Formats: sequence, C-alpha cells, structure tokens
Amino acid sequence: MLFNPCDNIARKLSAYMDGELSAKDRAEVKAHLDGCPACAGDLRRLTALNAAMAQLPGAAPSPFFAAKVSAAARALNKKRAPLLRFLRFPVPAMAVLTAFILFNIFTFTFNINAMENGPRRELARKMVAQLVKPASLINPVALARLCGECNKYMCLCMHEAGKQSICPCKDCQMGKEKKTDGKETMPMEKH
Amino acid sequence: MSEEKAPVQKEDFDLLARFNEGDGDAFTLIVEKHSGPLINFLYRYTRNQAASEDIAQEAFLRLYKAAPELRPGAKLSTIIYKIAYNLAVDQARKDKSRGGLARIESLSTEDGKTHDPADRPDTAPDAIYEKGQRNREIAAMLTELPETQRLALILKVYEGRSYAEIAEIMDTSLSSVESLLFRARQSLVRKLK
Repeated sequence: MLFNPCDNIARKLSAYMDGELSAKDRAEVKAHLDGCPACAGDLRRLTALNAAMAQLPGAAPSPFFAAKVSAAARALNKKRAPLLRFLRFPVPAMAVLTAFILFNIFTFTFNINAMENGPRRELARKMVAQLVKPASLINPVALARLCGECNKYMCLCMHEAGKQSICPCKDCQMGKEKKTDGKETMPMEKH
Repeated sequence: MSEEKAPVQKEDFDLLARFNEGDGDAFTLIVEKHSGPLINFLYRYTRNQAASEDIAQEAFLRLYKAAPELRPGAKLSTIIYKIAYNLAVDQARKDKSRGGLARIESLSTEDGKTHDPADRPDTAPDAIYEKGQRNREIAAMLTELPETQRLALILKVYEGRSYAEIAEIMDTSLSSVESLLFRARQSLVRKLK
C-alpha cells in the first residue's frame, strides 16, 4: 500500500491522548481507532506508558526552603539598598542645585543683556576670565560677579574704572556713596 | 480548565503586585506556593534533590530581581518554570562538558523518604521489588532521551501543562512540542517492548 492511513493517525495519537487535537482531527482519529485494532493497541501502549511514568517518585522541598530563599532575597536587597539610597537623594539634590545655578546664570545674563554691545563684550570678557578659574566650580554665578582681572566685585571694578554706566548691578550703591563730593551722579538702583 | 486556572493566575498576579509594592511577605508566599511543583519538576529532570533545590533557589532569586519589570497579567508559574528550565539546561550542559554526571538518587524512595516494606504489610516484597525495578528502568530510559524531549515529556506527564504552556516555557512552537512528545513516547514505547 502506497499510503498507509495508520501512519498519519500514529503521528496524532500522542496529541489525541493529551487532548490537544482540534475537534476535526479528534473526530478523524476516533473514527479510525474504532475500526483499527493496531492503532487502538498503540494508543493503549501510550496510555500504559503514561501510567508507568506517573509511578516514578517525585520530590518535595526540604524544610525551610522558602525561608532560605526569602533570606537570600533579603540579602540581595541589602546589597542594592546603598545604590538606591544614592539614587534617591544625592542625585535629585544635585539636579536641584544645578537647576538653581543655571537659573541664576540666566537671570544674571538677562540683566546685562540690556547693555550695549561694546560694554557687554567687555563685561563678558571679564566674566569668562573669572569662570575659567577652578574655583568657579563651587559657585559659578557668585564668582562670575567678580572681575576677572582684579577679583574685586564687578561693580567696584566698573566704578573704579570710571565706567559706572556699565555696572551690571541692578541696584548699585556705589554712585550714592560717591555723592559726598557733591557731584551729581546717576541715580543707581540699590544693589 | 481555563476557569480553574483564572483564579490561580489572579492570585499570583495579586501576590506579585503586593510584592512590587514592598510587601516582602508576598515573595515568601510566592515561594511557598510554587516551590513544591517546581522542585518536583526539576527533580524529575536532574534526579538529584540538592541540585534541584539549588536551581529552584536561583530561579526564585532571578524572579525577585525581575519582578518590577514583569507586565501585569504575566503568568507567574510559566515565568518561574521558564527560568528554571533554562537554568537546568545550562547546568546539564556544564555537567556534560565537565564530564561529570549528577549523582542520581535511589528510585526506591517515595516523596524523598525510603520506603520500608514493613510500613505496608499488605504489599508483597516481590511486588515492591518489581515496582522498584520497573521504575528504575523507566527512569533510566528517560535519562537517555534527548534533553528537549525529556523536558517536554516531564512538563506534560507530571506537570499537566498544555502544549501552549510547554511551548512558552521551552520557547518553541506548538508543532515542535507536538513533535517532541510524539518522538519521546515512540522511543520509550519501543524500549519498553
């Protein structure tokens, strides 16, 4: 016989026994088994094999296995805790500090933005000279307010140079202090 | 069957959710619930209690680390079995490459305890011997099967997993699972004749 239908059924017997065939295939196999003693015998052998395998003894967890695993998991957690603490506090704190510094730099530069090009460039040059110093890592905004050439406060530097008009201070007291000689100076906002 | 499994799956999911919220006891409950079947499954593959428990512990610790990333509705038992399956296969490969064989424990035990014929006076010693002999033969035939066939058969016969679950655990297709089981059973039936 060229085509043996039993070969096709034999391949499906395992899935038939496990109840994993589609309804159509299940009906096909059942119909064949009803008329084929050889295939029915194969199915009995598969079922007997399943039953024999089920007799093999298994194993249960040893006492306190769950407790042992939980303890190991807690030990794992303890190793991760310092890293989590680091990520939970210092990192956000540094982010807030950075944001604060950036905000200050923004408002500071916004104040001097209203100045004319020439004085602004001069001022920027002095600020950069201050910012390149290593100490600027601590508080770049505070240090940027110092003159890069003399390390005095920018406002003082400008007034001593006779350039009080380009003083970056919003409310500078320098002009008011120099009124003692009676000379009229430009009213300055309080620094 | 699916109606019975749905509450089980929900319970597992609730435990996982509680664990992710910081309830450490939930993890202990997960371990208590799944360690029995898992160690049983691993024991049938490795035939070694100590090795089975080591693999099971490692599987639970990996689940512990991965728990925050698991999607809601993930089937916990399938995930644990998948982890354990991969660990067991890796361990078997390492043992094979080292040329060592896992110490196979006696098959005359049931539930880890040595069976004493005196405990069951109604069973003839001959019957006990024959049963033990039969079990040894079947266990030996099982260990001779290729790993994938053996694992598929264990998951089907002892764990009662569906073909779809076996395919997920073994990371293979349904048709592969069907083929693995067919070939495994054919091989064993031929040897038993």
